[in-house]
Amino acid sequence: MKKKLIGVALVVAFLAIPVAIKFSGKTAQHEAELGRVEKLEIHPSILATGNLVFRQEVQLSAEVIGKVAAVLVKEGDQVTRGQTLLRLDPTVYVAEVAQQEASRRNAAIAIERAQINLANQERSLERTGQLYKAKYIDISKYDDAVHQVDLAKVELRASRETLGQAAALLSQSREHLAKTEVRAPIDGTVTAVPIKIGETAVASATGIAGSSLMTIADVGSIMAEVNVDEADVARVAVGQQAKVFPAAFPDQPVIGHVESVAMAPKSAMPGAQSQGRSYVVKLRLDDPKLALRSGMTCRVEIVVGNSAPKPAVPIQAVLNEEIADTGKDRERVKNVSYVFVVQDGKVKKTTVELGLSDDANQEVTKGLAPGQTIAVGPARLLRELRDGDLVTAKKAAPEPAAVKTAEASR
Amino acid sequence: MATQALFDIGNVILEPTPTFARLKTKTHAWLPLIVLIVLTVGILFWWIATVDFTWLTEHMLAAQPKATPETRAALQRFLTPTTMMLSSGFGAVVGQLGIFALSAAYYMVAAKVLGTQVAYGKWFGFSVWTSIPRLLTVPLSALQIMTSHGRVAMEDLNMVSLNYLALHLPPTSPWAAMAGAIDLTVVWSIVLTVIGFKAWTGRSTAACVTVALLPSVVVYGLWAAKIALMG
Repeated sequence: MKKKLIGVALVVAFLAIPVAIKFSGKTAQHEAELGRVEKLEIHPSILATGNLVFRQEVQLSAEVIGKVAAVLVKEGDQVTRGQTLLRLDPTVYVAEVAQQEASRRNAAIAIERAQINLANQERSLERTGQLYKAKYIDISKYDDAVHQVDLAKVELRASRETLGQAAALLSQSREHLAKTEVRAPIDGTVTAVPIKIGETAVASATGIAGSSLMTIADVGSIMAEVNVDEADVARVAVGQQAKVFPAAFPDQPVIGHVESVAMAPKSAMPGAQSQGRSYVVKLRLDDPKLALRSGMTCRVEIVVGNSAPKPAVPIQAVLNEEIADTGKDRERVKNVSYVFVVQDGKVKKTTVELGLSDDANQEVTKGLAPGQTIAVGPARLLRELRDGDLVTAKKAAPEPAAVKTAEASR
Repeated sequence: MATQALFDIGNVILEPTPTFARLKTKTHAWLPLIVLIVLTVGILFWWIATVDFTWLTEHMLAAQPKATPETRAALQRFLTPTTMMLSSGFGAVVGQLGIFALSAAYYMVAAKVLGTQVAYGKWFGFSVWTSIPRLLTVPLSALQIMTSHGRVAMEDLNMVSLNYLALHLPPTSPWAAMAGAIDLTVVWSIVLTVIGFKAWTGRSTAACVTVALLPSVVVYGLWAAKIALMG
């Protein structure tokens, strides 16, 4: 009997001890990272991608056909407005000018000839008139003389016009000659020189070889042209701030401002299947110190929210769960957001309503008041926390901000 | 007969010596064997049916901080209720039968060495009967499942393990698995083995203790040595 009692006691102890351990361990404290509900400026942003382009970029093309005799600049050279950049072989055009000069001189001589002829005819008319008055000749002879004078006058006028024509042709030839020297239309930097000495520059607007001589751009005026999706473009307005992340400097954003928003969507390439419409937004870069180049891809975050401070919590403190809606439709599932408010070392699951959010913070429109302490991490613990669990503040790792100030004070 | 066997499940715990003496003539080990297997599998299936698998996956991944993404993906693919039920069911049935068979062989050899001839079938029954204390963990595991809201790890189902009772090692510790495997039922089974072996063979207590302890000492000793040497 005694042995039996020992056995029973053993069984009871075997069952009771673990249970006692389990329920005494219930009050185990969790170490959580704590934070406060603060009034913060929420900066929701929209994302877009695009390219960096130079604001002013000109592509020079030849106006006359000719072989390239000299290229006076190379890629990267600074040029000033009016500077000679390239010379075409002028021989043909020099000869043409000489020819036109000669023909102009010829025209001048023709005027002289016409003047002499006119003077001669006038004298002849005078004589004929005296003879006619004295009745030595008949009226027909006199009429002939008048006619000759009129003809000489017309001829003189015609030669004067010929001189004007020759002068115009000469100035045209000179203009052609002048165009064999290509000059810079703007101050800037040469960004591309596709033509080489010996090649023939062709006066043409199409993209055939030889039609483009060089590209000059004002590299100081780089800007970003990004494509904003039609769903987002309504929120973009001129003047909004944006962060531009060039692909070449992914962690050094350049601050920019929206300069213009396109009125019409960007037309898709003919034949290409467009995946939704996008609008071109141009951004002015405030201080592009980086070595940015035209054509670089960039990612842009345009800040679209207003900046009034609102009660907000770190975004990771907000958790979601699905609960059955107790409304009429029994099948409906409602998605609720909640945070753990810490009060007297105990957590309280608090349902909240959310407003705007950005990368780091989430606006809370209902459920929390500024100054309340909330649990913000670690994420694993937050998922396991239950109403009433005890939490203590985790010794926080040195914050990046604190490290920065320490470095600055050095 | 069956009623007697059912009572003997309790008697093995409360009055081991006379019970083992009675069991030597007629072991009828099938009843405790079925009870053991059914309850173990039942508890495992209940746990799998209620556990939060997302949580469980994270919990198991947290135990392996050095796991490569491929390992993680493989584990996540493996951790589905169906695969878990199949693998744990297979383990509970085949694994237990295998261990009973192995220990029966060991007891037969040990008895032969000590000069007692008992048939293998009876030793198999002996192994089953000495495992009876494991039944006591069933209500404890059930309590764990009921109070955990689906967030209890497999190792925490065993509330009498060294780790749960005393050490509280995190799952990342190399000793955690071993501390979770050693529990009060192991000790109890060893005590029952000593008593039962003495009742069946009539040898000295020292010899019976040696026989009962040897397998555990060897198994856990080698395990500990492996952890100590290889980490």
